[in-house]
Amino acid sequence: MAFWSLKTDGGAVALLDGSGASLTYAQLARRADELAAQLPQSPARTVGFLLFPPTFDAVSLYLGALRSGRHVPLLLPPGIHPALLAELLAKYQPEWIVTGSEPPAGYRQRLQTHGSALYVRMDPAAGALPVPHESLGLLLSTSGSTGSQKLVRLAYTALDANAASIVEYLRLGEGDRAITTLELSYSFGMSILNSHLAAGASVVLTNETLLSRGFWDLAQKSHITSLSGVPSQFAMLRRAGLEKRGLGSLRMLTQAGGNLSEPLKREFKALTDRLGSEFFVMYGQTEAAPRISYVPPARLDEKLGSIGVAVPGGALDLDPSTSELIYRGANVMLGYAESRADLDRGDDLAGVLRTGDIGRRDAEGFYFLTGRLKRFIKLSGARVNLDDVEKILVNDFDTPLACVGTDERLVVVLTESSSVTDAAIRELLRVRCDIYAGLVAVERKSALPLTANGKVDYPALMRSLS
Amino acid sequence: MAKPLEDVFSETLGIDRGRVVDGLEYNSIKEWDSVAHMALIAALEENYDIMLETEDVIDMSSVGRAREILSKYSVTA
Repeated sequence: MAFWSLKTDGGAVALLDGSGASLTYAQLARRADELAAQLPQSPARTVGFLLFPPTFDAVSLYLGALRSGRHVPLLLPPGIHPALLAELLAKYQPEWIVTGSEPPAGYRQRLQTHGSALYVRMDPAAGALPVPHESLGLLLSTSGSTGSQKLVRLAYTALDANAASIVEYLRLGEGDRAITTLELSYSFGMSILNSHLAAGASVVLTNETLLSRGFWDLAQKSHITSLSGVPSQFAMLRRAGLEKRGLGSLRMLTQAGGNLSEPLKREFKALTDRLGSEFFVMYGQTEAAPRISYVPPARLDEKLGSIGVAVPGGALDLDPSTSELIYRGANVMLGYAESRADLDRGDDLAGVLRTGDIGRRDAEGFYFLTGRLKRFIKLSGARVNLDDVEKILVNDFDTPLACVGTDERLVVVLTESSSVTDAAIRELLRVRCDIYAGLVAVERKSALPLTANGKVDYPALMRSLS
Repeated sequence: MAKPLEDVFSETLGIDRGRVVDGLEYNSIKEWDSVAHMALIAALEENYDIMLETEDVIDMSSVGRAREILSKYSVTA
């Protein structure tokens, strides 16, 4: 049964919030259908943008769209940069949008919900737009920056399959309770919601962060059983003193969204051992809805650098010639979309995902990542395509530069003769790519190293920096 | 010699010094999110040569609260 069917015993609690309010499964199902009934009732399937805050109504609308089988939402962060939103609106021309900010031109308000409103497009020529394929359930973005807006097309079956396999390997049950620590529009954040609903468990919705007293008071009062984060949030859990936060009900920590340093893995493994809970280190991609692999907690100490084994129902393999990690499973996306017209495409990948990561496998079948085919890094869990960022900077500053980096830091290398200031680089990255200045280093070299055919030699550049 | 509190905030968050007032709250502006808060904690510790307790880290909910908390560490902020 798919998680959006909400078939758990209707009286069980599905969602809670910071005000002490809660929604049962029955109430959530009713609200979901009530809100979905307000979406455009055209005969054709629709596309909508859901700027997704952690509220009952936003979650209800998300589930309502899935339950309707007719409305395909693109999940976006509520704080999305206006330029990026404008670019997406122009490209995908959604029939509806849910936002807490000003509506775009050409849309009128249909419904006011808590903190947000639903707007529908007035344009009567709507019928002329390409209609989303019948298997398409949801759209997610792969990047927070402008200029590289590839969307991931996920089938209903992929969402259902991944939620079910997460329930299986985390052994989630009705007694479990998560709390939002990530954007719900981010595939990892979304998957926590999906999998808990699939298990008949509950989720606490909050805007508070791991570094605020309010978060920990709510977590304790709500008796949460799991906490999840990307690598930068594990550094926060350490600073917030997780062990002192009195979470007696905590059953598991889960980590994904990039490589967590081995010292932090060791520290949190030891901590969960002391607390009698489990630490799940996981790997995934939005393209797989998103979970691909996990390390069984009992094996973590001996497989510290590993991404583990495939999730239930999936299979991992290596390309014999390139060693690229290849994942097969029902949760693999249908394909990418770069325009509205792409939304009526069917299944381009047939369940086979080339991850772009290079890997190896040990004798026991555990996988390890050794590099990437494409130049991207993950900063605070968000994928940053170095070539795209480089293009944005070069277009704006018209000066020779190169972007390299690790999952901890983006390094922008300029030549010494460039008059562009460090502050200008940081400001543009913040505004255009939503990258926090503290994660950016600016370096200056007499010249950028080049390969024989005149391209920037990135490996040489990386070596010269370390 | 420690820098004034306002300078540490302004430099770490990348905002004008004029915006650093006691009423400015954590998570109320884009520039002061959790990633920036981690950097801010580290910058305050370095500036005043102190180690903040975990309780103080999660209580530092505004510029004003930061000033109060730092006073417990016998530093002039």
